Amino acid sequence: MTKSDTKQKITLSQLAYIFIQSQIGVDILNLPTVLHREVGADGWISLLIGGVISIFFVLMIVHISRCFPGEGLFDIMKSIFGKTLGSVAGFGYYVYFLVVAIYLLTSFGELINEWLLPETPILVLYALMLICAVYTISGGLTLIAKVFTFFAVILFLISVLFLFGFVDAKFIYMLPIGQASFSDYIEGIRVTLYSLSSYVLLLLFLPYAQGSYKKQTRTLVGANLIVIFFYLYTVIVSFAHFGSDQIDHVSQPVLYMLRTADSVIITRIDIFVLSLWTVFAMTAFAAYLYGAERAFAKIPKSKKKMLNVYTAAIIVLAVSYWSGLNEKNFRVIIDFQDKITEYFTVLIPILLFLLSFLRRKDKKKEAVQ
Amino acid sequence: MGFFKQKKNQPVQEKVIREDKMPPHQSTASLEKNIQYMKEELRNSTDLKIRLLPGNKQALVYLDDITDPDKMQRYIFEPLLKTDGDIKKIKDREENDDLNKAVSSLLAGKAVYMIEGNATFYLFNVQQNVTRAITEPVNEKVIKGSHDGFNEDIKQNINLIRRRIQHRSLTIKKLTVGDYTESEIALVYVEGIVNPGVVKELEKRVKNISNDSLLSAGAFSEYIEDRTYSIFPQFLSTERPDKTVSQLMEGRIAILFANNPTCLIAPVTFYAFYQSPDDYNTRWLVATYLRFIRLFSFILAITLPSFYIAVVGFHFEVIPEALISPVLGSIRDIAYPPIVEAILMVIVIELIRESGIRLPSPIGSTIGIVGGLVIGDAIVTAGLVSNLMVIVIALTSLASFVVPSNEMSDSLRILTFPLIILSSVLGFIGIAFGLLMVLIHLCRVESLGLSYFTPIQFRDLKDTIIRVPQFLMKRRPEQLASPRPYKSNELSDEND
Repeated sequence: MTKSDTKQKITLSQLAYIFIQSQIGVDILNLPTVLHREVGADGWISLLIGGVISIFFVLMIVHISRCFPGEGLFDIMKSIFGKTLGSVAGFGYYVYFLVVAIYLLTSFGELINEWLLPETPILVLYALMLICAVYTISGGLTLIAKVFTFFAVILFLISVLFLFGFVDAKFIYMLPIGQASFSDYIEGIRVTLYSLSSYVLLLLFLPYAQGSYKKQTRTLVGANLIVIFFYLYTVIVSFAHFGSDQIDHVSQPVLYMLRTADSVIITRIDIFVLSLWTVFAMTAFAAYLYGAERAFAKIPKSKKKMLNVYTAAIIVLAVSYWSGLNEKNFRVIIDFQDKITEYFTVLIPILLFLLSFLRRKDKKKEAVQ
Repeated sequence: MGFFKQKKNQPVQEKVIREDKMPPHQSTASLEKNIQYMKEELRNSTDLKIRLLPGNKQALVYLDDITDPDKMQRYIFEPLLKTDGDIKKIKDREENDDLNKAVSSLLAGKAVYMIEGNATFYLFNVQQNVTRAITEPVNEKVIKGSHDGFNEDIKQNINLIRRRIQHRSLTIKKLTVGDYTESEIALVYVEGIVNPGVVKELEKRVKNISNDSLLSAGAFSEYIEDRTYSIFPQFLSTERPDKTVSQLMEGRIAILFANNPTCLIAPVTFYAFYQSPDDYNTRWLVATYLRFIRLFSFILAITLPSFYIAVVGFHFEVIPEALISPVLGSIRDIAYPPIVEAILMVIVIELIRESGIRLPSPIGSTIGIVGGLVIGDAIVTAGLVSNLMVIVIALTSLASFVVPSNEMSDSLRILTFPLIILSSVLGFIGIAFGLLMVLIHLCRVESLGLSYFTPIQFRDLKDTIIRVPQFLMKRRPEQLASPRPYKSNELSDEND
């Protein structure tokens, strides 16, 4: 390890916050509607099952990282798949991270355009977002950890604001339970798992994290539980607030819910929540951009870190702009993401997990010592 | 890159040698030659006085303006009479035969006594001390607590600190900076509490300063700061000994300057700029309340104008129904868009503030009345600025003055501008992005290599946003990584 690597240590709580912040992106605002369309009133059950599965994935990831101490995602893949295949997989992840970053950016732009700034050229929003993210990444892992930790307060704040949704909530909307078919559940679980899929990024951060394997596991499972509960809370509030008839027709149920909420001092809480949401969008986006930067750094052995960041940023900006031009382009991106997500978030991690038993390095080291 | 390589045409500059690093120049036995050399070295300055004693065999050389005639009488002439003119019998003298040393001693306020036919000369310290009385600093008044303050004399300042910390581990390290000015600075810290790595880092940075002059604490901090391009001050400056001492006991380093009452404290966190010595002297609930007020004022100072502009320009629906018509009524007849109003009003307030500083205090208050009442009222009736905007900007500047630290308050006032612009372009999203940038930047800044803005952890809450009673503040701040993390002996093995 080089000197700068050993210097960049992140504490366990920072690791947890990084995980939380990279998971909560823009998706969660749509999630209730999407789940309801797929599974109906039982959407929250499939969310719960999906959450449990995601915990297994987190456990797998921690195990993989434990088998290859000090190695990041790309080194691990090279160790497992061999040099050529590992590099190909690394490039695949580069594309995947970029696509997710593009998706996050465009969906954020879309959201803001739709709710707050219909007249503003979307490119301005993209540029501001990129500047913030690049500025965060350029400070290295320590800055990312600090920034993500700082903004964790907002999760709490937003959770409190969501309480407004309970004012008109009718929990009878959740009934009857167990109406959806098996295939609907599978579809719901798939959607859930994708929106919780940032566990892949953990492989980039785990080598720098302090603490024992046990503590890391505990922290990350805890962080994952927090996110799952936040998702569950959001979904249940929106289901209970809107009911089956309405929810299919509102794209961001939580925001609509807050729009109608009445508070004494200010009206339209949704606008504040949206502004606060910028933070979540930024942190999730920055996390994936960081992933892309790391991936790119491993492929052509590029030494200049900022160059990697800028290349990634420019690619993201260009593609986002292209996809924002019309609906068709946007669909292309989303379809492409749908296609590759399965490989990179489910199949490759499972493959890595299984193969990590064969090629693990931690046992060998112990034997040498 | 030929564009940057234009150094060839630069004038060749002679290197200046610092006084304490002058190569020795052996004095001769001839009195006349020695005096001649000193005259030349001092560029025939008129304040160089050469007093030939009766018989023209001995001479006393000194710089008239920085020596004290009383002291000369007491330390040189009176003893000289007692010993019948034998200089060697006088105590408190230094002997030397290096003429360059004599010149630099002259500059430090010493008198040189020379004898014809003798290469050795004698130095007497007859420096005239010009000191100001110890008074309370005007810009850092407190209601309760000690009312003394630093002045321009570094010895007196160190005295004030030593008197408060009577322990042998209080360390004072003196260094000089500036090839011409040779300004003396003193690093003060408590060994055993301070993080030794930080002291080393600071010393290294101070030794790297190369400049002709070092005149102020502000200039000094620009040389050794981690991020000079940041808008936030990375050194806490104070003129209060009690504040300095409390920071020393936390494990920070104080930097004192000769001829400058300002003391810099490093490494600091962002929160240090919101702490006042008053906080520790009042009841803790009251102090906590005041801390909240200050935190609120911080948020107010940087976001209120931009918030107002965003609401008026983009998100009118945020205003509760009952307020809509008064707000609309206030801004309807104003010709300018809100951003122009805001900038106009900010400029007016800054003008009043700047002019208030330069004027003597009796006129200063008049300016306040003229500016605040007359202009404020007239600018509204003239229809240039709306009522609400006057309230908003006035509140903002009031909030920025709540900050106990002067330089932080200046930084905050500048920070409002980018936020005003962003909010007038993008509304709330603009403010969100602006604040995001500010916070990321804050996380990035370091003070002497230690983090400046740590995310608030539960343990650090005790003396940042709130102030808990003293007995609960068992630990020194985490950020400093002090070798003595607990504040008392008994608690060392107890977890909190």
